[in-house]
Amino acid sequence: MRQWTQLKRTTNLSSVAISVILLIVTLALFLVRQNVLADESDLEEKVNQQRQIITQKKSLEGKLLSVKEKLQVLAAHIELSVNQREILADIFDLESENYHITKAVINEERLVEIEGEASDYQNIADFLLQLKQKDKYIDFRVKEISWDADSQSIDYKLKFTLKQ
Amino acid sequence: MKKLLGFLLPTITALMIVILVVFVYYPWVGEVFASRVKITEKKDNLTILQAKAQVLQDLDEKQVENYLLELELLVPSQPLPGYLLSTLEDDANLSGIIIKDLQYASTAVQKEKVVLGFLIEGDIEQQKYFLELLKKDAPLMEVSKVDLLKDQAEGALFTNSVLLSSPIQSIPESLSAIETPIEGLSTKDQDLLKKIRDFELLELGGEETKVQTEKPQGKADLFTL
Repeated sequence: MRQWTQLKRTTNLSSVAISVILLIVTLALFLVRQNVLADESDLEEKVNQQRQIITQKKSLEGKLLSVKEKLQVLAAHIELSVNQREILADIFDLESENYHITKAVINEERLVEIEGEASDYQNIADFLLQLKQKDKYIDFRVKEISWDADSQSIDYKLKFTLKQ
Repeated sequence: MKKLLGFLLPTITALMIVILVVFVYYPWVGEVFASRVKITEKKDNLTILQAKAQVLQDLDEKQVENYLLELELLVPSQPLPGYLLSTLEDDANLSGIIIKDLQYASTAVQKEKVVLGFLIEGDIEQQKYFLELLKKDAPLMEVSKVDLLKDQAEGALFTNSVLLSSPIQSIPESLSAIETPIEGLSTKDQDLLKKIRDFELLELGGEETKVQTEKPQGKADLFTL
């Protein structure tokens, strides 16, 4: 009987202790939850504020986007046009009595083809050397060279690409 | 019965544990974890939005508008054939070359560019000058293909077949998601914007016409001499 009373007492005491611990845990968890929810709500508010600012500046964003897109086109144009015009100027400058240029083609793939006439092979060699010295043409290929006995001249066809 | 009543408190405690775990702790802990994930996402989101808002707030809207207007002259949003052809005409007049076989049709408008093919006739210096003028023209014009054909009969005269393309960049119809980050005008952009002035742009407005606000007034009292 005494043992029974002892057991009952211990069990009841344990129950009280567990209840107190449960209460503390519940309270702590409640506080953590409230804190986290408050943080989330606070962040949500801040995000909404920023969204509102951005929405108000929507028109400016569109203009900025458009400016940037057009600037990209302009940048590509400046870079490309320098090379294309340089080569045109080069071709015009190289035209002389020694090597007449009869045809020059610069296509969209930045491939340059020149056809012309020269009085001798040395002149063609000089012409190629001058082009090489410009240091912006690569992949030289002499496509065709033929001697025209009637006109005492050499027809040449050259092909090269522009440096990227 | 009395013996059983002695275990009432532990039984209630055990029940309370079960109820709390199932109906309180489990949902709350789940909620806290879900909120933590949301908070991390929102923090990232907020950083992006704050940076974006800052970029937009730092920009001078009037200045961006001016940039856009100037760029519109260089890279129009839609084909402007009249403007393009008159620019070519001016260049031809200035350089002394003759433009032949130039036709503009709706087929000239291709993927984000206007493509024009024509012949130019003139001596080397005139052609070089013409090409130099093109370099500074607005709208932008790129020489995408050149066929230089020496006119044997005319001696120093060259006939040049030119394929020009003038880029078009339409205004964006819709903006991307609000969370998409944007960049302001970088140093590279600023440098490019300075180069706009190197091109021959149309005059933008000029001096604003002052509106006369003061109306002519007669005498304050008509009956006094």
